[in-house]
Amino acid sequence: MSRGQFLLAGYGALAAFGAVLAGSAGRFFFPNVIYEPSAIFNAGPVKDFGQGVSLKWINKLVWVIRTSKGVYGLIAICRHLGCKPNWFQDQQLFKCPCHGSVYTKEGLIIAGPAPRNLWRPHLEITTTGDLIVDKSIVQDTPPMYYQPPFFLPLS
Amino acid sequence: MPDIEELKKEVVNSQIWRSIFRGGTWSDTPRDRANHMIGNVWMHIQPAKVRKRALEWTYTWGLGGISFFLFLVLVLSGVLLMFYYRPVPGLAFRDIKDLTYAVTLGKFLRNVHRWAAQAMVLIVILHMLRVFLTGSYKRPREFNWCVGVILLTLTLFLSFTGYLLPWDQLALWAVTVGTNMAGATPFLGNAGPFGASLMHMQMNNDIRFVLLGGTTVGANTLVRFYVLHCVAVPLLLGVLIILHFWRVRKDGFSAAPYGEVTEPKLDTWPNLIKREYIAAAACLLVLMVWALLVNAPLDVIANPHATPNPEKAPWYFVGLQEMLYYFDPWIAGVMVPNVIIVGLMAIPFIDPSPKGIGRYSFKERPFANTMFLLGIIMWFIFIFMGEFCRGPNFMWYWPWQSWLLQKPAPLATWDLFGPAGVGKYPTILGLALIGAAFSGVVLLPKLIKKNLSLVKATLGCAVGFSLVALILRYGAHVPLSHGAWIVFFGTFISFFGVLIPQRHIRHLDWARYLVTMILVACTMGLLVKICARLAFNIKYLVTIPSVFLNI
Repeated sequence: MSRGQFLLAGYGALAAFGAVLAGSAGRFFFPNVIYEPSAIFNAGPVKDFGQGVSLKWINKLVWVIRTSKGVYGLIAICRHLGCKPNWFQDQQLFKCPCHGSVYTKEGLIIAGPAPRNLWRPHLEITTTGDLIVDKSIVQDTPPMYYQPPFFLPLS
Repeated sequence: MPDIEELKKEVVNSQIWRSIFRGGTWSDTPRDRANHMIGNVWMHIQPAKVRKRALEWTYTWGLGGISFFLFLVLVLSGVLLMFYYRPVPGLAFRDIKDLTYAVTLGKFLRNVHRWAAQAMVLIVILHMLRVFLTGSYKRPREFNWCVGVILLTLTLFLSFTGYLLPWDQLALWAVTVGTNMAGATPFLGNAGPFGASLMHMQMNNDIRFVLLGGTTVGANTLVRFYVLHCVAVPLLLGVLIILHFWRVRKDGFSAAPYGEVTEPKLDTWPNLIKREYIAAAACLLVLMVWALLVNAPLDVIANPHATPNPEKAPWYFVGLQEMLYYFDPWIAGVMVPNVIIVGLMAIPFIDPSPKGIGRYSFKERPFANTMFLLGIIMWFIFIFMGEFCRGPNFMWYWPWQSWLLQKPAPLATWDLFGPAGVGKYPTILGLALIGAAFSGVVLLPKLIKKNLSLVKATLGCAVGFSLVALILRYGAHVPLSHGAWIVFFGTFISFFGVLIPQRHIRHLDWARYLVTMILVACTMGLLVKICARLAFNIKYLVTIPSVFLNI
């Protein structure tokens, strides 16, 4: 091995070491444990929800919507850039204040820049009749959008 | 009464003074003045002598110096604010309240910090404009221009990170929006093209997650932004400022074409120092009066369950916010800023002409100045639209319209090209057409060899697009008001995208020509999409939902 080759190998090893070091430093910035509220909550007896859009659980960023056919939830986070849209009862629309996205009562995007429909969370009704909302399991595209557990038919 | 001059001499020539400032007895010779610059660690970042032209107010406007002065003011006021601030949700907002109402001079300091930051953004942009218009980025200053572009980016990033710290509504939602844009980065973000589909990006492993230190803006985010704002970014900025100044000095303090060394020079001390002092003093005066008269805004405490309506970004980002109305976040929030930054850095390398260095001259650099001013003006028009023409639900309200006025719900949008059921026409056709149009704009100026009359050609384009509008009116029932958008944007794009480049840069070598024209075509592409939205309510020209790719 010539002197030049030896040095080249040395620099190569140094570069590899640097790359591993940089990678580790990058990994450092991904927290392993995060302290955030649970994605699952009990929304109370499903029979308590009247027809229409309920703002009762807006502090969990969830709208519970009861129709004549059943119940579904919508996560109150705009699919554009994460602002909280507002419900307009008179126009039966959700409108986002940040960039003007407009969603129907079903959660479908109809105008404005958001690329996707609102998330629908996983729903479950316990034997006691309570509605359990799980925001960690979500769906945003038909046909699953309109099927259990993202839409629960009620008699 | 003692003789002031005598006293001054006495002090300056005393052993103590001369031990601090190197050099022998001061007799105000050119050598003394030069030594005053060279022999002082703070001063020697400046040369001993400066070209006379570089000293004129109307040449530099003192913008670079004022930017640096504002940076110093920001460091000082920022460090003072840190004594009373704790970066914890809840506490942070209370500390800002305390600073405003309970701490001596606290309100004044916060006002100074806020307004100096806003002023710095504006002054740095104006400084860039000045450097561009005087051709001061050309050889041998290409590298320093690039450092300057990074400094501008870091200035904006500092503003952005500082925005979260008061932990009020403005802060929370601006940062929610800003970090969600990072989530739309192609490949690296969970909502970006190819992010979820190809790279398996999710809420808890993508670039947004790193920025937030979690999945929503929370305590981790506040600490991250605090460290970035108070330590990491200022340090980096400081290092780059030193580099920037060093190169300014070594590259000959602007105002001279490469190789011209015969110009008369003046002593830096006192000629330049005096001007720097006046600029700094005037700047400080304005800033203090401003801080006394206008209070820094503070909204109510951050509430993750309610977004203010409308929620607006700080003014320098409002143009971006307006663009986000027309484009998917991965374009408006990620590609546009990055292409602007890279494009700015490319300027010195795609503009090799030695003309117009060291003076404002439109005649010598018609293409460069036209395009750069077009970009800057477009940017500020977007800012105006976002700041003054947007009301509740981000609907369009003219500045004189009341926000209490109810606006009808916007019409449903539609997609031009996409898979069956989503787009009106097939995806492949859309990609082919857009590719063809883009390459057309890029190549056309170089392929037309003739000298065209600018007026006649522009009129020709206007007539052509008017015919298109008429055909659409009677062939497809497109209202004439929508046709007017086509005539306006079509003529505008033909003028700036084809005719101006055809006139000025078709002789450029292929490499430089292509890079320049790709940047021009991207700018024109923005206008095409905006026209499509305004005239036809088209949401996407092309959409491929399976990989989140929407154009």
